[in-house]
Amino acid sequence: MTLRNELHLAKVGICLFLAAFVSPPITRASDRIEKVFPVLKSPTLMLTNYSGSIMVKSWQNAEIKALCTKYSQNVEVDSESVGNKIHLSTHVLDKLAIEEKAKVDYQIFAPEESNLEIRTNLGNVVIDRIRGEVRIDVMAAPVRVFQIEGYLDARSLNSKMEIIDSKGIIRATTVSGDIILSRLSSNNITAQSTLGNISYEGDFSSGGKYNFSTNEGVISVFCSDRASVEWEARTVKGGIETNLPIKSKSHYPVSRSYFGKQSLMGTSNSGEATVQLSTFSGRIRIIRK
Amino acid sequence: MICREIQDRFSARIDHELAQVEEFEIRQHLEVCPFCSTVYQDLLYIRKSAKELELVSPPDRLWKSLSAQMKAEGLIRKPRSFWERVFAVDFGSSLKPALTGAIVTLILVAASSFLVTKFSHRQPEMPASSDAQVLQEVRDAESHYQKAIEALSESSRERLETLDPAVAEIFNDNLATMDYYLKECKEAALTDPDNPLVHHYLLTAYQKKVELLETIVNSDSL
Repeated sequence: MTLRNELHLAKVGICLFLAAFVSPPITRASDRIEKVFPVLKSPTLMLTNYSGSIMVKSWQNAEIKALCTKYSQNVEVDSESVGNKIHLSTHVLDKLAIEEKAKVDYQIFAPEESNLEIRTNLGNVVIDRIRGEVRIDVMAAPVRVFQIEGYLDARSLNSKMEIIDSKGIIRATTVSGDIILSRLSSNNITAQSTLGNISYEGDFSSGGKYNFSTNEGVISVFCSDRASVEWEARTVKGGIETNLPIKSKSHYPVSRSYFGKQSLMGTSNSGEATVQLSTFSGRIRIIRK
Repeated sequence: MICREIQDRFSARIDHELAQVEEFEIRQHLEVCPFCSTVYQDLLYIRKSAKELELVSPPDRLWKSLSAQMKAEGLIRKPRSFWERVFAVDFGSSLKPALTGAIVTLILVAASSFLVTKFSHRQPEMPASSDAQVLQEVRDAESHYQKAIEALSESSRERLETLDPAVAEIFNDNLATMDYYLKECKEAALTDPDNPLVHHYLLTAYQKKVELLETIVNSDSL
């Protein structure tokens, strides 16, 4: 073998060595882990994740089943079952790793009367048909909640929050994410955002209390002429507009496109629900659906 | 719900008089507000301690000693009726014409005032001190929040340095948002100091900043 060939072979060998041991590990197909926990009535699931999607759906079985998909070997899924409480958490091995290497997706099936506590920084969260107490705390993970009953307390920093077709006590808080509330049958809703917009579309239950508050965002309420509401809308620097027939406290009907005022107190129909809307500098819009 | 409203309900909560919805709201607030949580814990402690206090009966010698001292100072005398005291019927004391005259004058003046007030149809004015009191309470709350923010800022800065850069950036953006918003609220409070909604938003802004700092301090450095 000539010296040139030997050198060539050596170079190839070195390249292969570097490819095998020095370069970042080739991402394998994701690892899927299944965990099943038998539970009694009204179990509690506490899930802490860093990044990835979380989906929780109800089913009729008396157990909680978690399908966990890891995208790298840099994470582990820890679990603990204490009585009727299940703890699931993502354990990141290399804390300096990038977000992609800390990603775990969770798909969870739980009894509908389960209580949930979910925390995650990034990714997204979907909750479907759960009737227990649900608490969600995310940083920048869009949240979508469908058909829940019971109690919901959802908080996010940056991400959008959608709550649809749900009942029970609802609390939604964001700093800059929008809050979208649609087709709710709840009689007690509080939505607060600093920069985000709040949108409510639907009816108001008799005797219900609804409190929507933003600082810079716009509050938009879409409801029918038949809604029976006691309205209390205030803003420091924003404006208020409505095209609903609202009888103001001064006993004069509010004129169409009532706009530019700092407060609006009035009644639609018999005022059976109480709706309080307040902003610092955002607009308030009460629009006929 | 601002701290003042929450604290007004502590007594009802301790006495288990709250509706379920209110109980939920207060529980949520206590989880994120260190001031209200501390006040609530203090109230619980005071109540517990008060219940545990034993009734103490003073020793007999204490009353004897006090009684003797009060007699020496003329604070204890043989009891006399009101008219005896005022008109001093016994011949050993002089009449008290000045006192008598003063009492009669006082009665006449009080009656006149009552009649004038009753028939003048004038509404009494609201005391101006209630607005000043509210403003003072807002300033006190502001001061508490500023101290909490100062205490949390250093810890949150240290924590941010240990976090994933993407996460730290999100937190920093939100902190900048809160600072900008706080500045707007403070300016509004200066230009419109009589607007209670402005005070509400100002205190809410402080509260949200404290919550954000607490979130940063408690976040995991994953």
